Amino acid sequence: MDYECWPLGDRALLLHFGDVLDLDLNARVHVALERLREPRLLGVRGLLPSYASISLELDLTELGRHGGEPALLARIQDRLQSDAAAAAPARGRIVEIPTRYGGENGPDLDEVARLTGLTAQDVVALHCGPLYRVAQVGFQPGFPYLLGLPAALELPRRAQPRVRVAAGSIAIAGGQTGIYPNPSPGGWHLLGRTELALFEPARTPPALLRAGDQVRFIPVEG
Amino acid sequence: MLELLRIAPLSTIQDGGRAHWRALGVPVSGPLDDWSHAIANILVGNPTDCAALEIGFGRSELLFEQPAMIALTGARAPIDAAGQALPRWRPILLAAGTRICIEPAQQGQRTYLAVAGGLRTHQVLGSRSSAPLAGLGMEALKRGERLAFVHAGPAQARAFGAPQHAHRPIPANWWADAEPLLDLEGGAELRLIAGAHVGLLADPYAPYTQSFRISNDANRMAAPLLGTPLVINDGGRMISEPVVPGTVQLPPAGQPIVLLADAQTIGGYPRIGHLAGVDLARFAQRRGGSELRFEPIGVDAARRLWRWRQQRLARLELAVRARLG
Repeated sequence: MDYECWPLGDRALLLHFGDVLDLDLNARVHVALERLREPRLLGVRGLLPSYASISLELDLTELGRHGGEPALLARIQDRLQSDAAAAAPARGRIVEIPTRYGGENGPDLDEVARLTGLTAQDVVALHCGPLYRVAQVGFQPGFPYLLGLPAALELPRRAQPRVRVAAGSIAIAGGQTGIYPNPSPGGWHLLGRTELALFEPARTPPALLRAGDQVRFIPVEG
Repeated sequence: MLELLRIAPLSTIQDGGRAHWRALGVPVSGPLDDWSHAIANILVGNPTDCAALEIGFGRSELLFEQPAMIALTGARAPIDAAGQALPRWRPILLAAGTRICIEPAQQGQRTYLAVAGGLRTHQVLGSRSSAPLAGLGMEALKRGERLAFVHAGPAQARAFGAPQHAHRPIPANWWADAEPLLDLEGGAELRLIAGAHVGLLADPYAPYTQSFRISNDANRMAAPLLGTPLVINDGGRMISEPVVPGTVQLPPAGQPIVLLADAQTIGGYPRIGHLAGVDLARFAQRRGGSELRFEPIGVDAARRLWRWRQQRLARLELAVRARLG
Protein backbone atom coordinates (compact mmCIF):
# COMPACT_ATOMS: atom_id res chain seq x y z
CA MET A 1 0.00 0.00 0.00
CA ASP A 2 1.37 3.43 -0.89
CA TYR A 3 1.33 6.06 1.80
CA GLU A 4 3.35 8.89 3.23
CA CYS A 5 3.93 9.44 6.93
CA TRP A 6 4.02 12.98 8.34
CA PRO A 7 4.25 14.30 11.88
CA LEU A 8 0.97 15.77 13.16
CA GLY A 9 2.52 17.84 15.91
CA ASP A 10 4.83 16.13 18.42
CA ARG A 11 2.41 13.50 19.71
CA ALA A 12 0.73 12.16 16.58
CA LEU A 13 1.57 10.88 13.09
CA LEU A 14 -0.49 11.07 9.94
CA LEU A 15 -0.50 8.26 7.38
CA HIS A 16 -1.55 9.92 4.14
CA PHE A 17 -2.87 7.59 1.41
CA GLY A 18 -4.05 10.14 -1.15
CA ASP A 19 -5.69 13.47 -1.93
CA VAL A 20 -9.07 12.65 -3.47
CA LEU A 21 -12.62 11.80 -2.39
CA ASP A 22 -12.83 8.30 -3.76
CA LEU A 23 -14.55 5.12 -2.60
CA ASP A 24 -11.67 2.81 -3.58
CA LEU A 25 -9.07 4.98 -1.86
CA ASN A 26 -11.26 5.18 1.25
CA ALA A 27 -11.67 1.39 1.16
CA ARG A 28 -7.87 1.05 1.25
CA VAL A 29 -7.83 3.31 4.31
CA HIS A 30 -10.23 0.95 6.04
CA VAL A 31 -8.14 -2.10 5.14
CA ALA A 32 -5.11 -0.33 6.61
CA LEU A 33 -7.07 0.67 9.70
CA GLU A 34 -8.07 -2.95 10.38
CA ARG A 35 -4.46 -4.08 10.06
CA LEU A 36 -3.15 -1.36 12.36
CA ARG A 37 -5.84 -1.84 15.00
CA GLU A 38 -5.16 -5.42 16.16
CA PRO A 39 -2.91 -6.17 17.90
CA ARG A 40 -2.34 -2.67 19.26
CA LEU A 41 0.85 -1.09 17.93
CA LEU A 42 3.40 -0.38 20.67
CA GLY A 43 3.67 3.36 21.22
CA VAL A 44 0.24 4.09 19.70
CA ARG A 45 -2.74 5.01 21.87
CA GLY A 46 -5.40 5.66 19.27
CA LEU A 47 -6.23 5.59 15.56
CA LEU A 48 -8.50 7.99 13.73
CA PRO A 49 -9.45 7.43 10.08
CA SER A 50 -10.56 10.08 7.61
CA TYR A 51 -11.32 10.01 3.86
CA ALA A 52 -7.79 9.26 2.75
CA SER A 53 -5.60 9.22 5.86
CA ILE A 54 -5.24 7.82 9.36
CA SER A 55 -3.82 9.61 12.38
CA LEU A 56 -1.95 7.70 15.08
CA GLU A 57 -1.91 9.22 18.53
CA LEU A 58 1.43 8.46 20.17
CA ASP A 59 2.39 7.55 23.71
CA LEU A 60 5.90 9.02 23.66
CA THR A 61 7.02 7.21 26.82
CA GLU A 62 5.98 3.81 25.51
CA LEU A 63 7.32 4.66 22.05
CA GLY A 64 10.69 5.55 23.59
CA ARG A 65 10.87 2.16 25.29
CA HIS A 66 10.18 0.31 22.05
CA GLY A 67 12.68 1.69 19.57
CA GLY A 68 11.24 5.15 18.96
CA GLU A 69 9.69 6.35 15.73
CA PRO A 70 11.93 4.39 13.30
CA ALA A 71 10.86 1.11 14.91
CA LEU A 72 7.21 2.17 14.83
CA LEU A 73 7.44 3.06 11.14
CA ALA A 74 8.92 -0.39 10.49
CA ARG A 75 6.04 -2.05 12.40
CA ILE A 76 3.52 -0.05 10.37
CA GLN A 77 5.28 -0.91 7.10
CA ASP A 78 5.23 -4.56 8.09
CA ARG A 79 1.49 -4.57 8.75
CA LEU A 80 0.59 -2.67 5.62
CA GLN A 81 2.79 -4.70 3.28
CA SER A 82 1.94 -8.22 4.40
CA ASP A 83 0.48 -10.73 1.93
CA ALA A 84 -3.05 -9.94 2.89
CA ALA A 85 -2.51 -6.58 1.18
CA ALA A 86 -4.63 -7.70 -1.74
CA ALA A 87 -7.59 -8.56 0.48
CA ALA A 88 -10.79 -6.63 0.01
CA PRO A 89 -11.85 -4.42 2.91
CA ALA A 90 -14.14 -5.97 5.45
CA ARG A 91 -17.64 -5.14 4.24
CA GLY A 92 -18.75 -3.58 7.51
CA ARG A 93 -22.27 -3.86 8.84
CA ILE A 94 -25.15 -2.64 6.71
CA VAL A 95 -27.27 -0.14 8.64
CA GLU A 96 -30.68 0.88 7.32
CA ILE A 97 -31.83 4.43 7.98
CA PRO A 98 -35.61 4.95 7.79
CA THR A 99 -35.97 8.39 6.19
CA ARG A 100 -38.85 10.83 5.76
CA TYR A 101 -38.04 12.78 2.60
CA GLY A 102 -39.25 16.30 1.80
CA GLY A 103 -41.68 18.65 3.50
CA GLU A 104 -40.56 19.97 6.86
CA ASN A 105 -38.22 16.97 7.19
CA GLY A 106 -36.34 17.84 4.02
CA PRO A 107 -36.91 21.54 3.31
CA ASP A 108 -34.39 21.62 0.43
CA LEU A 109 -35.80 18.68 -1.57
CA ASP A 110 -37.66 20.89 -4.08
CA GLU A 111 -34.71 23.25 -4.41
CA VAL A 112 -32.36 20.31 -5.09
CA ALA A 113 -34.81 19.04 -7.73
CA ARG A 114 -34.80 22.46 -9.37
CA LEU A 115 -31.01 22.80 -9.27
CA THR A 116 -30.43 19.30 -10.69
CA GLY A 117 -33.26 19.47 -13.26
CA LEU A 118 -34.87 16.37 -11.76
CA THR A 119 -38.25 15.78 -10.15
CA ALA A 120 -38.43 15.49 -6.36
CA GLN A 121 -39.34 11.78 -6.80
CA ASP A 122 -36.20 11.25 -8.91
CA VAL A 123 -34.05 12.92 -6.28
CA VAL A 124 -35.44 10.62 -3.58
CA ALA A 125 -35.06 7.54 -5.79
CA LEU A 126 -31.46 8.46 -6.61
CA HIS A 127 -30.59 9.25 -2.98
CA CYS A 128 -31.99 6.03 -1.52
CA GLY A 129 -30.64 3.83 -4.34
CA PRO A 130 -26.99 3.22 -3.42
CA LEU A 131 -25.33 1.37 -0.59
CA TYR A 132 -23.15 4.10 0.93
CA ARG A 133 -19.95 3.71 2.91
CA VAL A 134 -19.19 5.64 6.09
CA ALA A 135 -15.90 7.15 4.93
CA GLN A 136 -15.18 9.10 8.11
CA VAL A 137 -16.90 10.35 11.27
CA GLY A 138 -16.34 13.89 12.50
CA PHE A 139 -17.48 17.54 12.43
CA GLN A 140 -19.56 16.72 15.49
CA PRO A 141 -19.80 13.54 17.58
CA GLY A 142 -21.25 10.75 15.43
CA PHE A 143 -21.61 12.74 12.16
CA PRO A 144 -21.06 10.19 9.33
CA TYR A 145 -19.62 11.36 6.00
CA LEU A 146 -21.01 8.91 3.43
CA LEU A 147 -19.46 8.29 0.01
CA GLY A 148 -21.36 6.87 -2.94
CA LEU A 149 -23.75 9.70 -3.85
CA PRO A 150 -24.93 9.46 -7.50
CA ALA A 151 -23.15 12.08 -9.62
CA ALA A 152 -26.50 13.59 -10.68
CA LEU A 153 -26.98 14.82 -7.09
CA GLU A 154 -23.61 16.58 -6.72
CA LEU A 155 -24.16 20.22 -5.78
CA PRO A 156 -22.03 22.86 -4.08
CA ARG A 157 -22.98 23.79 -0.51
CA ARG A 158 -25.81 26.24 0.08
CA ALA A 159 -24.75 29.85 -0.42
CA GLN A 160 -26.33 30.72 2.94
CA PRO A 161 -25.65 28.12 5.66
CA ARG A 162 -28.53 27.52 8.07
CA VAL A 163 -28.12 28.70 11.65
CA ARG A 164 -29.91 25.60 12.89
CA VAL A 165 -30.33 22.20 11.28
CA ALA A 166 -32.61 19.72 13.09
CA ALA A 167 -31.11 16.57 14.63
CA GLY A 168 -31.43 13.57 12.30
CA SER A 169 -31.39 15.72 9.14
CA ILE A 170 -30.06 13.90 6.06
CA ALA A 171 -28.18 16.22 3.76
CA ILE A 172 -25.99 16.35 0.65
CA ALA A 173 -23.07 18.52 -0.47
CA GLY A 174 -20.41 17.90 -3.10
CA GLY A 175 -20.12 14.14 -3.61
CA GLN A 176 -21.15 13.38 -0.06
CA THR A 177 -24.23 12.73 2.01
CA GLY A 178 -24.35 12.91 5.79
CA ILE A 179 -26.62 12.90 8.83
CA TYR A 180 -26.61 15.62 11.53
CA PRO A 181 -26.65 13.89 14.97
CA ASN A 182 -27.43 17.07 16.92
CA PRO A 183 -29.06 20.39 16.12
CA SER A 184 -26.29 22.58 14.74
CA PRO A 185 -25.48 25.16 12.08
CA GLY A 186 -25.04 23.59 8.64
CA GLY A 187 -24.49 24.42 4.98
CA TRP A 188 -25.60 21.18 3.30
CA HIS A 189 -28.89 20.69 1.40
CA LEU A 190 -31.50 18.97 3.59
CA LEU A 191 -33.37 16.15 1.82
CA GLY A 192 -35.01 14.31 4.73
CA ARG A 193 -34.82 13.30 8.34
CA THR A 194 -34.56 10.14 10.43
CA GLU A 195 -35.83 9.49 13.94
CA LEU A 196 -32.85 7.27 14.73
CA ALA A 197 -30.47 8.70 17.33
CA LEU A 198 -27.06 8.99 15.65
CA PHE A 199 -25.17 9.68 18.87
CA GLU A 200 -26.16 8.96 22.47
CA PRO A 201 -23.34 9.17 25.02
CA ALA A 202 -25.08 6.76 27.40
CA ARG A 203 -25.52 4.04 24.75
CA THR A 204 -22.94 1.31 23.97
CA PRO A 205 -21.56 2.06 21.46
CA PRO A 206 -22.52 5.74 21.57
CA ALA A 207 -22.41 6.26 17.80
CA LEU A 208 -24.91 4.49 15.52
CA LEU A 209 -22.35 4.43 12.70
CA ARG A 210 -18.62 4.10 12.54
CA ALA A 211 -16.14 4.47 9.70
CA GLY A 212 -16.28 1.43 7.41
CA ASP A 213 -19.99 0.70 7.97
CA GLN A 214 -22.37 0.64 5.01
CA VAL A 215 -25.63 2.56 4.96
CA ARG A 216 -28.88 2.42 3.01
CA PHE A 217 -31.67 4.98 3.27
CA ILE A 218 -35.19 3.50 3.36
CA PRO A 219 -37.95 5.98 2.46
CA VAL A 220 -40.87 5.94 4.89
CA GLU A 221 -44.16 7.78 4.63
CA GLY A 222 -45.33 10.59 6.83
CA MET B 1 -20.44 20.58 48.48
CA LEU B 2 -18.61 23.43 46.77
CA GLU B 3 -21.03 26.27 45.99
CA LEU B 4 -20.29 28.75 43.21
CA LEU B 5 -21.47 32.03 44.77
CA ARG B 6 -20.06 33.75 41.74
CA ILE B 7 -18.11 32.30 38.81
CA ALA B 8 -16.08 33.95 36.05
CA PRO B 9 -17.36 33.50 32.48
CA LEU B 10 -16.16 30.48 30.47
CA SER B 11 -15.38 28.43 33.57
CA THR B 12 -15.74 24.65 33.20
CA ILE B 13 -14.86 21.37 34.87
CA GLN B 14 -11.99 19.54 33.18
CA ASP B 15 -10.33 16.16 33.71
CA GLY B 16 -8.17 14.09 31.34
CA GLY B 17 -10.87 14.25 28.64
CA ARG B 18 -12.20 11.76 26.10
CA ALA B 19 -9.17 10.71 24.04
CA HIS B 20 -10.60 7.20 23.74
CA TRP B 21 -13.60 8.45 21.71
CA ARG B 22 -11.93 10.64 19.11
CA ALA B 23 -12.58 8.19 16.25
CA LEU B 24 -16.32 8.84 16.74
CA GLY B 25 -15.84 12.56 16.21
CA VAL B 26 -15.75 13.37 19.93
CA PRO B 27 -13.46 16.28 20.86
CA VAL B 28 -10.77 15.26 23.34
CA SER B 29 -11.41 18.23 25.72
CA GLY B 30 -9.43 18.49 28.96
CA PRO B 31 -7.75 21.60 30.35
CA LEU B 32 -6.44 24.28 27.98
CA ASP B 33 -3.48 24.89 30.31
CA ASP B 34 -2.69 21.23 30.96
CA TRP B 35 0.48 22.09 32.92
CA SER B 36 -1.27 24.15 35.62
CA HIS B 37 -4.13 21.64 35.77
CA ALA B 38 -1.76 18.70 36.27
CA ILE B 39 0.22 20.49 38.99
CA ALA B 40 -2.90 21.58 40.87
CA ASN B 41 -3.92 17.92 41.00
CA ILE B 42 -0.46 16.70 42.00
CA LEU B 43 -0.27 19.23 44.85
CA VAL B 44 -3.35 17.76 46.50
CA GLY B 45 -2.29 14.15 45.93
CA ASN B 46 -4.58 13.45 42.95
CA PRO B 47 -3.74 11.69 39.68
CA THR B 48 -2.97 14.36 37.07
CA ASP B 49 -6.19 13.66 35.13
CA CYS B 50 -8.58 14.27 38.04
CA ALA B 51 -11.57 16.60 37.55
CA ALA B 52 -10.71 20.17 38.61
CA LEU B 53 -12.09 23.66 37.93
CA GLU B 54 -10.83 25.65 34.96
CA ILE B 55 -11.76 29.20 35.95
CA GLY B 56 -11.92 31.91 33.30
CA PHE B 57 -10.87 35.55 33.51
CA GLY B 58 -13.00 37.55 35.96
CA ARG B 59 -14.13 37.42 39.55
CA SER B 60 -15.20 34.24 41.31
CA GLU B 61 -16.35 33.47 44.83
CA LEU B 62 -16.50 29.89 46.06
CA LEU B 63 -17.92 28.48 49.29
CA PHE B 64 -16.58 25.19 50.67
CA GLU B 65 -19.33 23.78 52.86
CA GLN B 66 -17.03 21.03 54.20
CA PRO B 67 -13.28 20.96 54.98
CA ALA B 68 -11.18 20.61 51.85
CA MET B 69 -7.58 20.40 50.71
CA ILE B 70 -7.19 22.51 47.57
CA ALA B 71 -4.48 23.93 45.32
CA LEU B 72 -4.68 26.96 43.03
CA THR B 73 -2.44 27.29 39.96
CA GLY B 74 -2.37 29.08 36.61
CA ALA B 75 -2.87 32.80 36.05
CA ARG B 76 -1.38 35.39 38.41
CA ALA B 77 -4.59 36.35 40.21
CA PRO B 78 -5.06 37.75 43.72
CA ILE B 79 -6.89 35.17 45.84
CA ASP B 80 -8.06 35.57 49.41
CA ALA B 81 -10.28 34.08 52.09
CA ALA B 82 -11.87 36.64 54.43
CA GLY B 83 -8.98 39.02 53.83
CA GLN B 84 -6.23 36.41 54.19
CA ALA B 85 -4.20 36.24 50.96
CA LEU B 86 -3.93 32.67 49.68
CA PRO B 87 -0.79 31.49 47.85
CA ARG B 88 -0.85 29.75 44.49
CA TRP B 89 1.15 26.57 43.68
CA ARG B 90 0.75 25.15 47.22
CA PRO B 91 -1.77 22.84 48.86
CA ILE B 92 -4.05 24.68 51.30
CA LEU B 93 -6.25 23.17 53.97
CA LEU B 94 -9.64 24.89 54.22
CA ALA B 95 -12.08 24.70 57.14
CA ALA B 96 -15.77 24.05 56.54
CA GLY B 97 -17.52 27.27 55.59
CA THR B 98 -14.46 28.92 53.98
CA ARG B 99 -15.26 31.38 51.22
CA ILE B 100 -12.49 32.13 48.73
CA CYS B 101 -12.44 35.05 46.29
CA ILE B 102 -10.48 35.01 43.06
CA GLU B 103 -9.96 38.45 41.53
CA PRO B 104 -9.34 39.11 37.81
CA ALA B 105 -5.83 37.96 36.91
CA GLN B 106 -2.99 40.47 36.54
CA GLN B 107 -1.13 38.14 34.19
CA GLY B 108 -2.44 35.10 32.35
CA GLN B 109 -6.13 34.32 32.19
CA ARG B 110 -7.02 30.86 33.49
CA THR B 111 -6.92 29.69 37.10
CA TYR B 112 -7.07 26.01 38.08
CA LEU B 113 -8.50 24.81 41.36
CA ALA B 114 -8.07 21.17 42.33
CA VAL B 115 -9.63 19.55 45.39
CA ALA B 116 -8.09 16.46 47.01
CA GLY B 117 -10.13 13.49 45.78
CA GLY B 118 -11.36 15.44 42.74
CA LEU B 119 -14.75 16.89 41.88
CA ARG B 120 -17.46 14.27 41.76
CA THR B 121 -19.73 15.46 38.98
CA HIS B 122 -21.57 13.29 36.47
CA GLN B 123 -19.45 11.48 33.85
CA VAL B 124 -20.21 11.40 30.13
CA LEU B 125 -18.19 8.93 28.02
CA GLY B 126 -15.91 8.29 30.99
CA SER B 127 -15.07 11.94 31.58
CA ARG B 128 -16.30 14.88 33.66
CA SER B 129 -14.96 17.42 31.16
CA SER B 130 -17.39 19.97 29.75
CA ALA B 131 -17.44 20.37 25.99
CA PRO B 132 -20.44 22.71 25.82
CA LEU B 133 -20.14 23.30 22.05
CA ALA B 134 -20.25 19.53 21.37
CA GLY B 135 -23.12 19.05 23.83
CA LEU B 136 -21.06 16.79 26.12
CA GLY B 137 -20.79 17.11 29.89
CA MET B 138 -22.01 20.08 31.88
CA GLU B 139 -22.68 23.49 30.39
CA ALA B 140 -20.28 26.30 31.29
CA LEU B 141 -20.53 26.74 35.07
CA LYS B 142 -23.11 29.16 36.48
CA ARG B 143 -23.62 31.06 39.70
CA GLY B 144 -25.43 29.02 42.34
CA GLU B 145 -24.23 25.62 41.13
CA ARG B 146 -23.12 23.14 43.81
CA LEU B 147 -20.40 20.60 43.07
CA ALA B 148 -19.71 17.45 45.08
CA PHE B 149 -16.16 16.68 46.24
CA VAL B 150 -14.33 14.43 48.69
CA HIS B 151 -14.02 16.13 52.08
CA ALA B 152 -10.65 16.53 53.76
CA GLY B 153 -10.17 14.26 56.75
CA PRO B 154 -7.88 14.06 59.80
CA ALA B 155 -5.04 12.45 57.80
CA GLN B 156 -4.74 15.51 55.61
CA ALA B 157 -4.82 17.84 58.60
CA ARG B 158 -1.98 15.83 60.16
CA ALA B 159 0.07 16.11 56.97
CA PHE B 160 -0.06 19.87 57.45
CA GLY B 161 0.76 19.61 61.13
CA ALA B 162 -2.53 21.43 61.61
CA PRO B 163 -5.25 21.01 64.18
CA GLN B 164 -8.16 19.30 62.45
CA HIS B 165 -10.56 22.10 63.26
CA ALA B 166 -8.55 25.16 62.31
CA HIS B 167 -10.79 28.05 61.30
CA ARG B 168 -8.42 29.79 58.94
CA PRO B 169 -6.91 28.42 55.72
CA ILE B 170 -3.56 26.73 56.33
CA PRO B 171 -1.18 26.73 53.34
CA ALA B 172 1.63 24.16 53.24
CA ASN B 173 5.09 25.59 53.89
CA TRP B 174 6.36 24.18 50.56
CA TRP B 175 5.39 24.82 46.95
CA ALA B 176 5.91 23.87 43.31
CA ASP B 177 8.11 26.26 41.36
CA ALA B 178 6.13 25.91 38.15
CA GLU B 179 5.24 29.39 37.02
CA PRO B 180 8.31 30.26 34.91
CA LEU B 181 7.41 27.48 32.48
CA LEU B 182 4.09 29.18 31.82
CA ASP B 183 5.70 32.47 30.81
CA LEU B 184 2.82 34.49 32.28
CA GLU B 185 4.60 37.73 31.28
CA GLY B 186 3.95 36.58 27.73
CA GLY B 187 7.26 37.61 26.12
CA ALA B 188 8.41 34.20 24.90
CA GLU B 189 8.02 33.05 21.32
CA LEU B 190 5.83 29.99 20.98
CA ARG B 191 7.43 26.99 19.32
CA LEU B 192 5.82 25.78 16.10
CA ILE B 193 6.42 22.42 14.41
CA ALA B 194 6.08 22.62 10.61
CA GLY B 195 2.71 21.43 9.29
CA ALA B 196 2.29 19.28 6.17
CA HIS B 197 1.28 22.28 4.00
CA VAL B 198 3.73 24.94 5.15
CA GLY B 199 5.64 24.45 1.88
CA LEU B 200 2.60 25.70 -0.06
CA LEU B 201 2.80 29.13 1.55
CA ALA B 202 3.92 31.86 -0.84
CA ASP B 203 6.49 32.64 1.87
CA PRO B 204 7.16 29.55 4.03
CA TYR B 205 8.95 31.73 6.60
CA ALA B 206 6.02 34.14 7.00
CA PRO B 207 4.65 32.41 10.15
CA TYR B 208 8.00 33.13 11.88
CA THR B 209 8.81 36.59 10.61
CA GLN B 210 5.61 38.43 11.47
CA SER B 211 3.69 38.82 14.69
CA PHE B 212 0.04 37.90 15.25
CA ARG B 213 -2.64 39.06 17.61
CA ILE B 214 -4.92 36.55 19.37
CA SER B 215 -8.54 37.29 18.44
CA ASN B 216 -11.04 38.12 21.14
CA ASP B 217 -13.31 35.49 19.54
CA ALA B 218 -11.14 32.65 20.87
CA ASN B 219 -13.01 29.89 22.70
CA ARG B 220 -12.24 26.36 23.90
CA MET B 221 -12.42 25.03 20.33
CA ALA B 222 -10.17 27.44 18.51
CA ALA B 223 -8.28 30.73 18.68
CA PRO B 224 -8.14 32.78 15.47
CA LEU B 225 -4.90 34.75 14.96
CA LEU B 226 -4.95 38.17 13.32
CA GLY B 227 -2.09 39.53 11.24
CA THR B 228 -0.99 40.19 7.69
CA PRO B 229 -2.92 37.48 5.78
CA LEU B 230 -0.77 34.50 4.78
CA VAL B 231 -1.01 33.50 1.12
CA ILE B 232 -1.18 29.80 0.30
CA ASN B 233 -1.27 28.06 -3.09
CA ASP B 234 -3.20 24.93 -2.21
CA GLY B 235 -5.80 25.12 -4.96
CA GLY B 236 -8.51 25.16 -2.31
CA ARG B 237 -9.34 21.51 -2.96
CA MET B 238 -7.91 19.81 0.11
CA ILE B 239 -10.02 17.01 1.59
CA SER B 240 -10.45 16.82 5.33
CA GLU B 241 -7.84 15.04 7.44
CA PRO B 242 -7.36 14.42 11.16
CA VAL B 243 -6.26 17.38 13.29
CA VAL B 244 -5.15 17.61 16.93
CA PRO B 245 -5.22 20.31 19.61
CA GLY B 246 -2.37 22.66 18.73
CA THR B 247 -2.81 22.29 14.97
CA VAL B 248 -2.62 25.66 13.19
CA GLN B 249 -4.97 25.70 10.19
CA LEU B 250 -5.08 28.29 7.45
CA PRO B 251 -8.57 29.07 6.06
CA PRO B 252 -8.79 30.86 2.67
CA ALA B 253 -8.88 34.36 4.22
CA GLY B 254 -5.26 33.81 5.33
CA GLN B 255 -5.74 34.32 9.09
CA PRO B 256 -4.47 31.21 10.93
CA ILE B 257 -6.57 29.37 13.53
CA VAL B 258 -5.03 27.50 16.47
CA LEU B 259 -7.17 24.46 17.31
CA LEU B 260 -7.66 23.84 21.03
CA ALA B 261 -8.92 21.10 23.36
CA ASP B 262 -12.58 21.12 22.21
CA ALA B 263 -11.76 21.26 18.49
CA GLN B 264 -13.34 18.97 15.93
CA THR B 265 -11.36 15.81 15.13
CA ILE B 266 -10.94 16.37 11.38
CA GLY B 267 -10.45 19.55 9.40
CA GLY B 268 -10.34 20.55 5.74
CA TYR B 269 -7.99 23.54 5.83
CA PRO B 270 -4.25 23.42 5.14
CA ARG B 271 -2.12 22.76 8.24
CA ILE B 272 0.75 25.21 8.40
CA GLY B 273 2.02 24.14 11.82
CA HIS B 274 1.41 22.60 15.22
CA LEU B 275 2.22 24.19 18.55
CA ALA B 276 4.81 22.18 20.46
CA GLY B 277 2.88 20.19 23.08
CA VAL B 278 4.60 21.97 25.97
CA ASP B 279 3.53 25.37 24.58
CA LEU B 280 -0.23 24.68 24.56
CA ALA B 281 -0.24 25.66 28.26
CA ARG B 282 1.57 28.92 27.51
CA PHE B 283 -0.82 29.71 24.68
CA ALA B 284 -3.82 29.04 26.95
CA GLN B 285 -2.65 31.79 29.31
CA ARG B 286 -2.28 34.41 26.53
CA ARG B 287 -5.25 36.76 26.43
CA GLY B 288 -7.34 37.84 23.46
CA GLY B 289 -5.73 40.93 21.93
CA SER B 290 -2.19 40.02 23.01
CA GLU B 291 0.68 39.76 20.56
CA LEU B 292 2.22 36.44 19.59
CA ARG B 293 5.33 35.36 17.71
CA PHE B 294 6.36 31.87 16.62
CA GLU B 295 9.76 30.28 16.35
CA PRO B 296 10.41 27.01 14.52
CA ILE B 297 11.16 23.80 16.40
CA GLY B 298 11.86 20.33 15.01
CA VAL B 299 9.59 17.46 15.96
CA ASP B 300 12.38 15.61 17.78
CA ALA B 301 13.23 18.65 19.90
CA ALA B 302 9.54 19.15 20.70
CA ARG B 303 9.26 15.50 21.78
CA ARG B 304 12.31 15.87 24.02
CA LEU B 305 10.63 18.86 25.68
CA TRP B 306 7.45 16.86 26.18
CA ARG B 307 9.32 13.94 27.77
CA TRP B 308 11.17 16.41 30.00
CA ARG B 309 7.78 17.84 31.04
CA GLN B 310 6.48 14.35 31.86
CA GLN B 311 9.58 13.60 33.93
CA ARG B 312 9.23 16.85 35.81
CA LEU B 313 5.60 16.09 36.67
CA ALA B 314 6.55 12.55 37.77
CA ARG B 315 9.28 13.90 40.07
CA LEU B 316 6.93 16.47 41.54
CA GLU B 317 4.38 13.71 42.15
CA LEU B 318 6.95 11.68 44.12
CA ALA B 319 8.04 14.68 46.16
CA VAL B 320 4.46 15.63 47.04
CA ARG B 321 3.53 12.06 47.95
CA ALA B 322 6.46 11.95 50.39
CA ARG B 323 5.19 15.11 52.08
CA LEU B 324 1.46 14.37 52.14
CA GLY B 325 2.08 10.83 53.35
